[in-house]
Amino acid sequence: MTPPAARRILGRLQVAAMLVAVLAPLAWMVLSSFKVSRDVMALPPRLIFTPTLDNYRELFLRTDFLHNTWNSLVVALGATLLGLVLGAPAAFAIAWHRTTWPATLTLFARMAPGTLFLLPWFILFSQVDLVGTYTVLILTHGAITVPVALWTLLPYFDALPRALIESAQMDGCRPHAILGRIALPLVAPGLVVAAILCFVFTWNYFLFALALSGFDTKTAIVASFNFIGEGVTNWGALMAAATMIALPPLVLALLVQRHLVSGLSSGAVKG
Amino acid sequence: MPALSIRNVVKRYGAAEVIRSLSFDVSPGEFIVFVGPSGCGKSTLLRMIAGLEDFQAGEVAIDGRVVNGLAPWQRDIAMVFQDYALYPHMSVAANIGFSLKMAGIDRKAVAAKVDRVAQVLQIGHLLDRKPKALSGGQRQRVAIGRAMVRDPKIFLFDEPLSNLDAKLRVDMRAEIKQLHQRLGATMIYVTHDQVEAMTLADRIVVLKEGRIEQIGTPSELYRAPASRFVASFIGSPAMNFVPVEVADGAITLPGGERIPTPSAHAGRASFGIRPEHLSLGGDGPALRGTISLVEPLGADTLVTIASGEERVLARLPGDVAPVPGEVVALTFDPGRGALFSVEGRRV
Repeated sequence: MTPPAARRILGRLQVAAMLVAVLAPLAWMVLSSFKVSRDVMALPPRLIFTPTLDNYRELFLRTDFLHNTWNSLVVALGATLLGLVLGAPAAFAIAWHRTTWPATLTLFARMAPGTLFLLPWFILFSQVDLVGTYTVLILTHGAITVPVALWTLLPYFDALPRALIESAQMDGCRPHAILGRIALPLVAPGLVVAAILCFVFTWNYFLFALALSGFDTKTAIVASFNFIGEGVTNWGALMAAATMIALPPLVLALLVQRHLVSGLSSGAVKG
Repeated sequence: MPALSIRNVVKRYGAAEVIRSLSFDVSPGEFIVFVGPSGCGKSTLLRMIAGLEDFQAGEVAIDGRVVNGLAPWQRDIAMVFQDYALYPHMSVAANIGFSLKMAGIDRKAVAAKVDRVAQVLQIGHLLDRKPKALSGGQRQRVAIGRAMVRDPKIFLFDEPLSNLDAKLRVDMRAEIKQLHQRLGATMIYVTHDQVEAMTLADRIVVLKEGRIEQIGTPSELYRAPASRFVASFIGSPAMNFVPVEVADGAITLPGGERIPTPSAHAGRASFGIRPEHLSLGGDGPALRGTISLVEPLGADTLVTIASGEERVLARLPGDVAPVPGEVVALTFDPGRGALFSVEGRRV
């Protein structure tokens, strides 16, 4: 057996290695956003440099990045709402009836590569003149958010005591009232987690918006692609855009941590 | 018209038949207790009446109206669950008034009814609390209040006291009995505890493997059990059974003593006698053996005698002090005994 001290050091080294692997690209991104292009590409990378806000100035003053961010927000919020509205009742029904195949089916949809959907969707939505609208972006990102919401909420609904639901049935609740008045308030922590995951996944998803957004509805992540030109890439501005895009998911991810601990259903049964 | 009528109901889970063609009626205002060991189908039967469980054949009628296929809320019944099933995110008042709110009754009327029920159950001071801030007994009261507030045609109780400690269980049992006397409502109560069944019931339905073993008043079940199963289930401590031979209108006890019997049965059988019907000394036939265990309970003393493989338990007055190892004769009145066939039927 390894002595306890050596084991502790080994454990810390593992954590340190993981932190470096996860945080190094993020740090590189944030630092690069404050560098001039020449410094971004320097080898070996420069840790000491004169910071500049030029990249951010270019991003906000010379491009439509704010409008693109607004588009991302509309699409992410819309798709999150769609995911919850469809995913929550589905998860509740699946948990209640203990029938898991519909959930598995949605998982397949989530696992399939996005390119699989693109061509049929493009043809379909072109024919009904929807390509380039918020509607099409929200609808298509539903393919991501519905499975995410469903699978996040499933264990929360599973954990609800069945007697609570039966009690609500006896009290005169129809299914929609059971969901709205009893089940959803009790899985509120799960709803928060599901909402944040849906938002982050949609916010970061590139492919659907690339193919289906229009000039006015281009999302931030697609717009940031404009900094990659033929032969020349504006690395500084690209990193500034990437930093701005990464900010909301980062903040939300920190919030998820606090909500992961659920405890609302204590006191429902027994003593 | 019966308050509840069950006609030939059958419930299957796949190939397993858990309720096997049951029929019985419940009169208005009656307190009926379903009792039986785990897996006998008593909770399933209750849930079928509640509408929480569908079934494959038969008919359930409440107040003369067949309710097969009706949702629970359309049956005009209320149920108290084993785990209370209080809504944890609602206050006690909201829990009690929830069904009225769902029925569209206006806020003032709901509040008035909730207050009245809370007064009866003495939980008026708890109305603003959440369930998790209540003790087990208080939660149970709220659960009962939630049923009471609806003035249902039938109250259903699914082992409501099984999560309470022994003392509280006795208190709540008395309260439920008083509640029944006060409301005069029809109540159906499921328990595996025969003491609860005996103390609460107007009539007891003893279930075994999805069948009714016997229906009767507590006293009928105690005095005239229809089977060895009922005889052993009702009464505490349980009835003693000794193997006997029956021939020519007489029972031959293990010691060779013969007692007359009106039974026409012949051959091997079990002779049942309750511990409280045995006494030390006195006249009459006797079961003999060596005292193997003495358990003083204060008012009574439980004495176990052994004779070969057989063990016989007697409940004797508290002032007798037999000594283990002593050879004794436990006498009884043959009229108090019961004879059961090898299959367990009363003969």
